[in-house]
Amino acid sequence: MTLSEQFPRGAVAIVGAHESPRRRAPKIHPFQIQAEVITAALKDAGLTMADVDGFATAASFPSEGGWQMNGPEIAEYVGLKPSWIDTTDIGGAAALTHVGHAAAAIEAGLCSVAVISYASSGRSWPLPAADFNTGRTGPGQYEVPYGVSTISAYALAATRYMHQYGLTSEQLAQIAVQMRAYASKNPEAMFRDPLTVNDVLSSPMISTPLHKLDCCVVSDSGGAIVVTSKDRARDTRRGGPVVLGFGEAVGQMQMNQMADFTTTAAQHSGRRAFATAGVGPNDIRVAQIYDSFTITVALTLDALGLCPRGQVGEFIASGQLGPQGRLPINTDGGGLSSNHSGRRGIYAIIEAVRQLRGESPGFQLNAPELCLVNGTGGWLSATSTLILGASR
Amino acid sequence: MTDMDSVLPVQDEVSAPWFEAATKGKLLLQRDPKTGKVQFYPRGHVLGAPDRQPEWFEASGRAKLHTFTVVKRSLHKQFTVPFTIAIVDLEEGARITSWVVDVPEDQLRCDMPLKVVFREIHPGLTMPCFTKA
Repeated sequence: MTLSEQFPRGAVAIVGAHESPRRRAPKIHPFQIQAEVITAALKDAGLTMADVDGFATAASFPSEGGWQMNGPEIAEYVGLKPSWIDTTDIGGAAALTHVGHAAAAIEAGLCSVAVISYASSGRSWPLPAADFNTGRTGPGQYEVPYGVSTISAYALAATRYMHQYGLTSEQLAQIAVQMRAYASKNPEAMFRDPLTVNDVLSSPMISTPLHKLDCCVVSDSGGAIVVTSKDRARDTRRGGPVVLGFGEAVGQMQMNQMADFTTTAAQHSGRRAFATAGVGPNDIRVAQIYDSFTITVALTLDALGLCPRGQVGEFIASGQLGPQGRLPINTDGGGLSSNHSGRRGIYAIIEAVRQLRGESPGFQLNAPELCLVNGTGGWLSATSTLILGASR
Repeated sequence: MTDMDSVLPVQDEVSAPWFEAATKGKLLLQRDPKTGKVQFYPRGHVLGAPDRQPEWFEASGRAKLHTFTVVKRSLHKQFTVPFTIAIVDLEEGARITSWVVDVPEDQLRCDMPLKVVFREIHPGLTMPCFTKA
């Protein structure tokens, strides 16, 4: 069987979506935000907790209330008794992967209504220790002593891509500037004041070549979506976009295992998503591209084939990510300006749903048919790609 | 077993010889005794041939700087900024994470030739680092 035959293209729909308006929530435990967003997403779908028989989340960090067995613990807190549960943890891409797995589970009859949720107080409940990506046992003992952090890992990729393809710090900064322009229209975005390329370049250098304003915001927030079969979607309050394509892929955890610093696992997850959806990069005219850092966007656009190989710098510089460009992205302001509490994947999916429903709080395109969503987990460690189609 | 806030390696049966060699100023690599294929980081098996055990050998220390980042803001008390994290390609074909030392920031270039040196990067921990060849 080919990939396009294996995946249940268009068989499930996202019929409810809610992003918490919270951005700073001191003293609020993340499970409370989980309950808020699940309740609101179900309300959006016109469904209740009693309709839910599938549940997926990822909550292994302290800022997510994680300890162990976080899926059952959050189900217990919220009041769910699912017959299908998935806590696949591939970092910020987790929610996208949960959608792909939920589509397969619904098609296989393991559940009929799945809630996929996420909440984290990344700002107010920080890690109890410095973030050196992995532990200092096993593979990490050869890398952690050198102090490789998340941002340094992305910076290593940025240095190499710039060396190999001539991408500049100004072009990376333009990504942050464009995300801020979209955020300026979104009343819930964390930062809305206009930003210039010079603002980005004169912000403190953290790990060369990445400045403070090349990095995403750190918020306290959450989001949830409701996935069900296309048939069942007809009985919901508003229906919603269908899942046309899905792919996931694993890269590396230790940076010394990264074979090519100029691309990401999105080259594989993207290829799978395009194959299952039966469309190609040229069909995509709006996308939500995980923007933990500006370089994440640049590498991903290239890896997905959304710009010619090695030419993402010119693609950005010529305004292609802007409202009049070939490919507006992160139309809510993205993680760089609107919301990033730890794993942005859920917010990227929610913005894709809003875009396809015609209700983006940032920049709304005129009736887009497709929206691609790409999540990048860890430090370019794993990716997941979804292609959603408008339900009309 | 692990203090969340330490960055020191927790050695095991496979890694102990590697760290011991570094203390003596030697950089060890593993290779497949059958094909000669080099691997890093060290493992208890040959990657792609899990029924074979790798053998140790000493690297020449000749290398190229694949990519780097100069950390300007430290997130841990055990690191003093600036320091240069590097991904280094050894001539034997292995890629390792390390530091570039004693090279001014404006002289750092991808693909520049490097040679191994050994530094006590944390009290009591000597690790391979690299400098201009």
